[in-house]
Amino acid sequence: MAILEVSERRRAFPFEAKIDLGNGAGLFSAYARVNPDRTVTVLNFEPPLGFVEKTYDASLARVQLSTELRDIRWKWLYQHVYGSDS
Amino acid sequence: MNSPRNHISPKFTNDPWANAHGQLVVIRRVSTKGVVARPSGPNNWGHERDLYPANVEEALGRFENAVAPVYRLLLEGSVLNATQRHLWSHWLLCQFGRTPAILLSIAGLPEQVISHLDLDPTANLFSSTDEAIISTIRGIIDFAGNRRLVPYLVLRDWVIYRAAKGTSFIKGDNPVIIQGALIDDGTRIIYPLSPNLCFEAGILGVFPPSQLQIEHTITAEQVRDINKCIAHCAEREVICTVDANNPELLADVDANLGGSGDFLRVGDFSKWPF
Repeated sequence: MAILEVSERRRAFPFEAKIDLGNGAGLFSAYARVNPDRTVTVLNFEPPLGFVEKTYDASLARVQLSTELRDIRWKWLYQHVYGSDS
Repeated sequence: MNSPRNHISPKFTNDPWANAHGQLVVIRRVSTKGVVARPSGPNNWGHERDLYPANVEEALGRFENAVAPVYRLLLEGSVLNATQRHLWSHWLLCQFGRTPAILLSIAGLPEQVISHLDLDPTANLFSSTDEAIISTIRGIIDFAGNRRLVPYLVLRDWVIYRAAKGTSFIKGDNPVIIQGALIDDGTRIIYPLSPNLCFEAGILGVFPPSQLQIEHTITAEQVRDINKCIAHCAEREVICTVDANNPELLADVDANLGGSGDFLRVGDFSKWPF
């Protein structure tokens, strides 16, 4: 998948769910869109792969999306602070 | 012979509330007559008979022996190192997950999840309520040792509140209070350590937290608010020092005791932003 510029990402994923760590050390953004078939696609930044799209079906998306977007910050921070997975 | 007595709140964590004569005060609701206060001691409060199997009790005992020195460090105002922070975070999970009210809530989670996902209401992960409870009790140690949950605690900023002069904290039979989902930024984890000190984990400012550990003296009104919260999240009882047993505290406990009844909650998906 080609890496999109910020403006393109915003158009492609209008329901953006942006995560800003705010400490200058690592800006993480995740963008989401709702598809016509009620699936949800999230654009995740997953080092070293870069931006990766993940699509969830409607019945699971609400659980996985909301949990994942919040959870990934904590995982990232744990690795940043303690240098390993929890 | 009596069945074994299992402490849901270990003696060493109750000791700070006892006076020189080993006495503390238990405040408990009695039917509709309001609350009553009775004398007790740190070893006689915070237990249930025959709650845990022997192997769980033994494992909890080993964990308590390991965490007791860290508890003392916090009482002394020492700043914990990374290893001690991790141990303390596991202890918060352990103390949270071992009380009867929380165990019952965890045992009921599969049913809650099924009801939220519009699945077959007759489906269940366990064949009976008893089986669900037994499984949950056996899982206390796994819950306390859950490395996936620890980041939500160890990474937060920690504040040790010191009670204003002339005031003191109470402690409930759900000693660790988790207000909100662990994954959320605004969640507060509250755990009274002694009549003078109360631990809270949260985020000072905005995410990311900085793993600060600070002490902060709070006003009498703020102590009162925390005590109301502690009473609200208790199931049946709270303890206070002998000196703190006064009509104002009894009225506050009476108005709030056992008001929560909802210790774990599956998220409300209807508020998801669509």
